[in-house]
Amino acid sequence: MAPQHTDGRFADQTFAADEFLFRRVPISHIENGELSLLAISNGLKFEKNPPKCSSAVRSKYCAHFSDALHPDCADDRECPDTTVYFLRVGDLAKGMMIRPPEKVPAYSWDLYPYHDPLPKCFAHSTICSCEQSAPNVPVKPPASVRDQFREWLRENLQPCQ
Amino acid sequence: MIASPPQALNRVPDDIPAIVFRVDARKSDFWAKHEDVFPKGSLSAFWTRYHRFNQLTEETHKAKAFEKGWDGYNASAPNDESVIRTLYVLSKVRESKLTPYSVLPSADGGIGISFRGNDNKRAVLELLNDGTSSYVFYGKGCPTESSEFDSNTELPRIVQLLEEYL
Repeated sequence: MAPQHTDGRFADQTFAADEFLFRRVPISHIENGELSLLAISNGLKFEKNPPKCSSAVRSKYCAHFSDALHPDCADDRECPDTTVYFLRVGDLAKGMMIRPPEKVPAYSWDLYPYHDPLPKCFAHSTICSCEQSAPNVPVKPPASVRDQFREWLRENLQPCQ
Repeated sequence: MIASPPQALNRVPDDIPAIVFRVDARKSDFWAKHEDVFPKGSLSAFWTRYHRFNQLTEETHKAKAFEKGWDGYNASAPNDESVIRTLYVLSKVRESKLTPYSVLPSADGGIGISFRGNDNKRAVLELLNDGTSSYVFYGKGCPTESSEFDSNTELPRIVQLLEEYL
């Protein structure tokens, strides 16, 4: 069954804590059951333009996690060598701080989900980063925080199958 | 004209080059084809490491076969420069006590060399398509530490850091 198309609907920025975010993962980078850090881009592009954040598919508008593999949700491409991993929205990393040698700015950063529907994939969402003091305003964090988010994603993404 | 009778050849003429049978171990695939020469488990640590580095060299060349979007998103395929730099870094790591766990393309575009140590300690060296190199130390319960480095001049220091960390 094809994923839900947007069909003129608006984005829904309400995410429940127990909602899942599904993300494709290359099978080549699962080594003895452990996801390699190299499967996750450090340029996860937590930038000001939400569509440039890290893509995912939200469970609220999915019939099945395999929607993430459907060409409608994958730039019209087949994804034969990938599988699907998930994160729970309520578990997304919070309060990441910079690490030495970086000294400023001494803020905390969170990850948060952003619903960013595509014409043929209403469930398409992104995982963005914001300063804890300004929730849901996407900001690219400092390098040491990006590194921690990358490792956090590697450690917390879980296989759907 | 009368031919003189053949004479016994009592020495090798100087102009015939000596024939030397020499196998260049770096290029030979003999061991890859004859791994069963040794019963399983009988390989010394030396040969095990020797084979592993040969496999890692092969994995580095194979990394080029990954196409753009191999991660299911928009990751670039490794370019020639990242392959060459990875082979160079592997040759330097080979001189140390370290044996990498794997060589794989990096989702940031380029190639990464992975290491696994004790107590869930992990590390990767990334040689990216844009010419930058970086290391990341991480692992469950271990603080993440990373930095860029110059693979031409700083490699001995990075290898030493890796040895101490893992």
